[in-house]
Amino acid sequence: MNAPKMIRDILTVAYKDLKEFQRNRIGLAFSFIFPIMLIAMFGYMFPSSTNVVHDVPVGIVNLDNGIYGKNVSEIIHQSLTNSTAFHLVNVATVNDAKNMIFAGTIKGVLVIPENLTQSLVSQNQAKIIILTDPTSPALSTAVTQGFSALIGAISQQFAYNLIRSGISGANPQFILQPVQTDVQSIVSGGGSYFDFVAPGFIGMGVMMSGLTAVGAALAREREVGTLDGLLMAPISRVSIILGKTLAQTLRNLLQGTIIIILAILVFGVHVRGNPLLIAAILILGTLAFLGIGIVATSIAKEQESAQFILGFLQFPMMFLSGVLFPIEQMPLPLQYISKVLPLTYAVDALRKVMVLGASVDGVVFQLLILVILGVITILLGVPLFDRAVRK
Amino acid sequence: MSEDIIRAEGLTKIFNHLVAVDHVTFSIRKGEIFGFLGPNGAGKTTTIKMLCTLLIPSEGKAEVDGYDVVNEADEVRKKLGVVTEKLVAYERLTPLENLGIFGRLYDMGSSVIKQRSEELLKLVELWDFRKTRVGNFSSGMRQRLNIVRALIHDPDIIFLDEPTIGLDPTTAHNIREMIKRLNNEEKKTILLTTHYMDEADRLSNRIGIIDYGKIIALDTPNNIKASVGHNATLEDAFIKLTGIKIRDEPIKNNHISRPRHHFGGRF
Repeated sequence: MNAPKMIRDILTVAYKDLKEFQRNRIGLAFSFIFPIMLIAMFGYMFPSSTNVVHDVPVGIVNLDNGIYGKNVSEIIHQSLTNSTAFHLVNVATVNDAKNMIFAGTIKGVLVIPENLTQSLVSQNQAKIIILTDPTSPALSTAVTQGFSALIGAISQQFAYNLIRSGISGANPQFILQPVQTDVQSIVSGGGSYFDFVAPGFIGMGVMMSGLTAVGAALAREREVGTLDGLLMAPISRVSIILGKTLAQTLRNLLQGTIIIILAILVFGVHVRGNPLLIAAILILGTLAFLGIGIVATSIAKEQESAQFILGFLQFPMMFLSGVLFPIEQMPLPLQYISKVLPLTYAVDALRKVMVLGASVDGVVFQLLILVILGVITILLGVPLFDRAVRK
Repeated sequence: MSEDIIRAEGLTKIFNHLVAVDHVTFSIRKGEIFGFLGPNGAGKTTTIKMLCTLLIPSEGKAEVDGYDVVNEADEVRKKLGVVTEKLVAYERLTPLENLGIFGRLYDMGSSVIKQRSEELLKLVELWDFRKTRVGNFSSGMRQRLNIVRALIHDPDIIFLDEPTIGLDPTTAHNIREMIKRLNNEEKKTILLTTHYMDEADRLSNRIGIIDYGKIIALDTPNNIKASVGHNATLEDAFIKLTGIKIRDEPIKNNHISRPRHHFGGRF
């Protein structure tokens, strides 16, 4: 099979699929309406509420060399030693902490400023900064509340000691609240629940259409009989698969773009990242899920069985991949399961780029997972598909 | 005597230890209409699927115009036009769009596709509906389009799998006339499967009857009829050769309904 012929065949199959998609007005409309409806539904249903969290990694940066900085750091460490909600790691600098939040290794950080001891000794209110991760408003709230409670208790104890020592002439505000918290997002503008769910549902849309589109289309064409027309033409099986893959990738790209635009206009979703990087994630995600769909459909003998297999794959991903709520809010065994679900990486990458404005470096691991999965499943899917239709 | 354009030697297909086609040997001559008959599940469709490269034979070999159906599948596909019982056209597209897509897959240029589409759609009286979506077509229109789609690349050999099934008498008549015309005027070689014995008798130069995966008769319609008795019809001969037991289309992997552990496929 020569390359120009193969490219022509791929484009012909892709054109055919896109033309059919364009003519399916109801399907076309719902492919945009459905994700927007989900974003609206879940965005309004679950505002940035706090839920129970498990084992959330948080950091502490102590920039104060004085006695109070050391004391506050020790109290925070002691308080969180046996915590099931958070585990605390020491971080050297604020920049390191921000990088760790970008990388997803910590979900928030407490920064003890370098002037803490000096402020308290000179009887001025001191501010301890809580830096949060806006990709997950629910987690961000949990981290803020957890740290604020600890700082509040420390502040109260300090005030109690001041009053007991018979302090006089001090600023009353300082006596009432010697230590304040200042909550900041690592990016400007913070993050709403819409910011959290929009990338989740865009990723979920890519997963659902990727898994079902080519696989189900092949199963449907096989059942209706039109697949025989393609198989009896002098084109390779690879061209059929790649043509359908190309059509579906373009569909998902268009769908993702329109949903992002609507999410920005209707729900005020912030998109900080490079649109080309978002497109790349959509393309790689589509390829990975298409590959899985092709393998599943080739294994199944008819469309109904294929749908059962695809449903079996879809549902865990919908609920365990961090689409609706942060993975850290799930029990640990489910968190481990989420690590093997490809949607986890697609959604994580989309969220990092869209909410945090991460660059390629920030999502290289997630992209790599999607590339590897796409290549393996498509390479596996083509011979399986060939075997399924010719055995 | 014309040369053979299709040759099958010991062609066999086994699905999960069950023999669907059992060492079938036959040939089809260039320019003839070959009626391929058999009860449901006898192995007709499985044989055709092997000949048109949709299935890989378990044993034996077959050639289409000198090309091996396994090793030279693309060359075989270029030679064949296959009309299946099911519609092989996209319902959301128009006839012109469908023909355009299949024409391109057969490496035809745009102007040739346009010209050929017009000729064929006029031939089957679908030209007025060239911009109507196929989903709105009646069963007769669909079958005419099915035939046109198989002819778009002007193949030398045409496989027609029950082309008149479920059609009203007028449409069926028109399709039979078209088959005759393709054979007489365009010199196409045609392999025809049908359950209508009268249709097979009137159209075929030679007939092969397959039963339980084996060829049990292979001759001209007149010789097959004569072998049964004076004034016998092809239906008499068919029943005499295959028996009167009603055959159900066997269900894959169902041992109860599979007669003698043979079963067939369907497009």
